[in-house]
Amino acid sequence: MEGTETRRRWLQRATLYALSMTAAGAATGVAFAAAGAAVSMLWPDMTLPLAVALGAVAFVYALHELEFLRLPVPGRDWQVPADWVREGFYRSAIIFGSTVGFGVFTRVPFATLPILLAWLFASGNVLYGALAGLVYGATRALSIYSSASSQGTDDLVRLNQHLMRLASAGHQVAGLLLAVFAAYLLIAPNLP
Amino acid sequence: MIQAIDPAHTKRSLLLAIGLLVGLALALATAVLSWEAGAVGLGFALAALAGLAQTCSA
Repeated sequence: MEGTETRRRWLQRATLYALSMTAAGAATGVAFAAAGAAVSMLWPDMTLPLAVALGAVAFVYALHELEFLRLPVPGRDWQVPADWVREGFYRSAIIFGSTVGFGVFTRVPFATLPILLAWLFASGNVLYGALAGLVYGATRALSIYSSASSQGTDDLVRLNQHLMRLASAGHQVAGLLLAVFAAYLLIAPNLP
Repeated sequence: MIQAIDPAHTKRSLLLAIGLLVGLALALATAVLSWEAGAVGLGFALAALAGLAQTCSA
């Protein structure tokens, strides 16, 4: 009975974390798209040249993700302070989820996020920014549920090690998708 | 002198080539639509991958 109650509270907390992260992702998408919309009001014909330039940048970062060259990925090494996570059982989940979910305050190990945010800026479409940000936040939050069946610290350490081993494959998939995006942005806007 | 082919390098080169070809094919396939339509779809794919990939960086 007590185990069921503990599990129910964990699920509630995980869901608050996931929802906060999803909302924060949407807020970041809206912020970048709104900034792009403001710029395109000043310079209305900027979308196409911005998209083509982004295609070139995406190609260079595809080379980076596939380890043909090394580039810095825009991001910060800041971490959520430990005392923020002591702010109550549920409140800490909201604070942690939303802070990390913004994506721009913490470490960015993959180039897909900055390229996505640059594309949302270039698109200048606030509704699209919100939807793409929701997708980013929700998929980022999914991992919390992978620890649902973990029993104790050893299980969590094993799960974490398993996820770390997927990082190399993650970089290769990121490189592949960035190459697709790069080729598309460099060719499609220039077709008659 | 013949040098051994690095399988990892070959795999990464192949991924790059496949990515560029798929991008080219998508550009041609969506040529009848506006170019933004295809880019919007690719943006959603990028968003999903950006979120999932962060999982491997905890």
